[in-house]
Amino acid sequence: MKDISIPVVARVEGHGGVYVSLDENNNVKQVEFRIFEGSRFFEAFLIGKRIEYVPSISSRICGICGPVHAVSSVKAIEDALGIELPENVKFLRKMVVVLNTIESNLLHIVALSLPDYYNVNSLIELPSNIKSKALKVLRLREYIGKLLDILCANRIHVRNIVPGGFTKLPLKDKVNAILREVQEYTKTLYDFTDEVLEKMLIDYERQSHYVALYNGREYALEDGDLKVDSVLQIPVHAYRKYFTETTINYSTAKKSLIYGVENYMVGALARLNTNTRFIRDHVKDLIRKYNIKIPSTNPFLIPVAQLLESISLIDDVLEQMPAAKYHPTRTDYSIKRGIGVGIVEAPRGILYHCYVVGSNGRLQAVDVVTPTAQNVADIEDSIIRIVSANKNLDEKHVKRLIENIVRTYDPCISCSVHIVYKK
Amino acid sequence: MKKIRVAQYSLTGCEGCAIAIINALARIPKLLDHLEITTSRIIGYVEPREADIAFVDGAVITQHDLETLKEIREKSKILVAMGSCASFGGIPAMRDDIGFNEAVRIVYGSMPNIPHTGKVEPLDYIVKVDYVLPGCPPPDWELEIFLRNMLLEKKFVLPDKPVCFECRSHGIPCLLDQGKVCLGPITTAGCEAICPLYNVPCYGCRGPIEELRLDKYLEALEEHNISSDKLLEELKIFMNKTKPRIILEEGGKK
Ligand code: SF4
Ligand code: SF4
Ligand code: SF4
Repeated sequence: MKDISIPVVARVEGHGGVYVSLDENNNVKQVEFRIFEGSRFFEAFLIGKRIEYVPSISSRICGICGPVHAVSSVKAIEDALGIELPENVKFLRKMVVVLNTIESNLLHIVALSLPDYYNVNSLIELPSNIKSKALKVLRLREYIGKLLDILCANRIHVRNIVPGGFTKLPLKDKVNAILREVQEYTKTLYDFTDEVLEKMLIDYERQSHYVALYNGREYALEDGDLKVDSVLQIPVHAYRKYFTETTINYSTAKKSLIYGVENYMVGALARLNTNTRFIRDHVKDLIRKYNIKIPSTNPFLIPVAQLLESISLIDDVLEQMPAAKYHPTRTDYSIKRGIGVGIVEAPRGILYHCYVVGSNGRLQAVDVVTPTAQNVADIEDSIIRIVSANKNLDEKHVKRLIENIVRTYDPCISCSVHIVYKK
Repeated sequence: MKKIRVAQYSLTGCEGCAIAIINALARIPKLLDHLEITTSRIIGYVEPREADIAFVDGAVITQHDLETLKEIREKSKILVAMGSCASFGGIPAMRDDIGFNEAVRIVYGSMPNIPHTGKVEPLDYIVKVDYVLPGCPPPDWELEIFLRNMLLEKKFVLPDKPVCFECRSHGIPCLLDQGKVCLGPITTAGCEAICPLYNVPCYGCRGPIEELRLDKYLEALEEHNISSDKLLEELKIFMNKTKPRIILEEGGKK
């Protein structure tokens, strides 16, 4: 076999390709997950911006997880200024993250991953019975999107998230009307699960580390410490002590390692591993029924974890949101100099924003680490293993496997490009 | 009825505009009876192919963007600049104030081996653009109207009034009265004044209106005791490469 090159991987967000070089015995010499997405330099142009503009601008880092970027960003500012949020605002911020996670998970499962299980190029080419079930799940996703629209003015890029709270919140009745639609369409997800889950379970074993938020109260998405392999617990402020980044010449994204040497995974599977006990009982039943091994670092189970956590999270939304309070919308604060960290679980995993806020109410330093940047080393590690284990297959099959493994991680490339503030 | 061949491309942006297209298709699955998707990386077709309409989001930042855009132009009958980045530079154009080399120094130390043009350019700096759908992202309803018009072989025109028009028709209290800089008076309507509706000033994500009355706007700001420094700061969010900012800075230099 010659070297393997996949210039552009389809069905991922952003521009990325894979290059594998092999020696004469088909052993892998090197793997590069090449991200050639243009750099927009957010960390550079956010410097000097007034804090009230920053969450909305940060939302524009990513078109799939904009709302979560805004929350991570505003948390960093609030941490720097020592702002304590009213309980209802905290709850609604959490809902923004939960809804964005569900919305993004459903898109990945149905439109980006599903075609792989049926060996077709796109959702459009799926067998018609599967396609109609998939489209119904997208309908459910549409209502989740509508909830975000009404909560944050726009589901793709939020407008009302500012330091201290929200500039305005919707009327309760409007939210509850959409919740009823969500409730109505939830069964489409159960139908879909019955039909497809079996097919999504791909056997594969390998070792890695996994990192997710944990707070001991709930399925942590927006608040908690970092937990590594369910053992080591790290406060968010110590993130930079444990996780390091380097610039690599074949990519506009940087590469993250834990303890300076080892790759790790973040995202739905890491969350499910870390927070298994906080998912709904009927989802635990599914895990038993289908004999799914959790914890796991099998990347092929990432879409499965997305599906399971989405089912559980939708129940949380339906149960908790009707009691939400939409007043007050925000709290006052005063400007002072400070440094702050905002870590949340974006749909694809740990998202880190860290800012220095100046006494003039403007950002002085910006450091953002996205989930995909953290997964890059793990993706490359998985590619090495998959290519090494399938040396005897022909090139076409190996390419297909590589694309499958990249897509299973659901990389979000636009988001990953624009990394650290260099000290 | 013959299907319209639609292509979707993302240059350098956040791809929210691509998601907006997917959302529209999911919302109105019937559209797929009339449209054939020829190219869209996110849907699953990477290869650039001939199309009747190509939606292109993102700005031109890398060499790859530049070459792709020229190829898209050759292969497409109608080219649509989708979103603020593609229409007039939008968010990525914020880098202009820092310059490419300084931005590289801050973010990477030394630049990875991915060829950038060193500039941030909207599509019409490079090729002929047939329609623009501005906004970050463009409003859902506008995209739907646009698609419907194309299916009916009708032209599409943007509203030629400012955001204030829609804002007032919703009875929203004016943010200028609270001393905030709102770009509504100089920004193209069509978004239903969603930001003022949520008590946030319009930051101008739809770009400047055709019939720009900057002098009138500056007068109004003065009446409300709002400094033009703050105005310039807000123009630097989305409107870096647009007329109001250019005029204002040239005026300021005088
Ligand atoms: S216009 Fe906005 S939503 Fe569209 S690609 Fe640019 S940043 Fe993303
Ligand atoms: S709030 Fe803004 S958009 Fe609305 S009327 Fe006032 S200036 Fe115009
Ligand atoms: S109000 Fe202004 S910033 Fe908001 S969506 Fe409309 S044009 Fe864009």
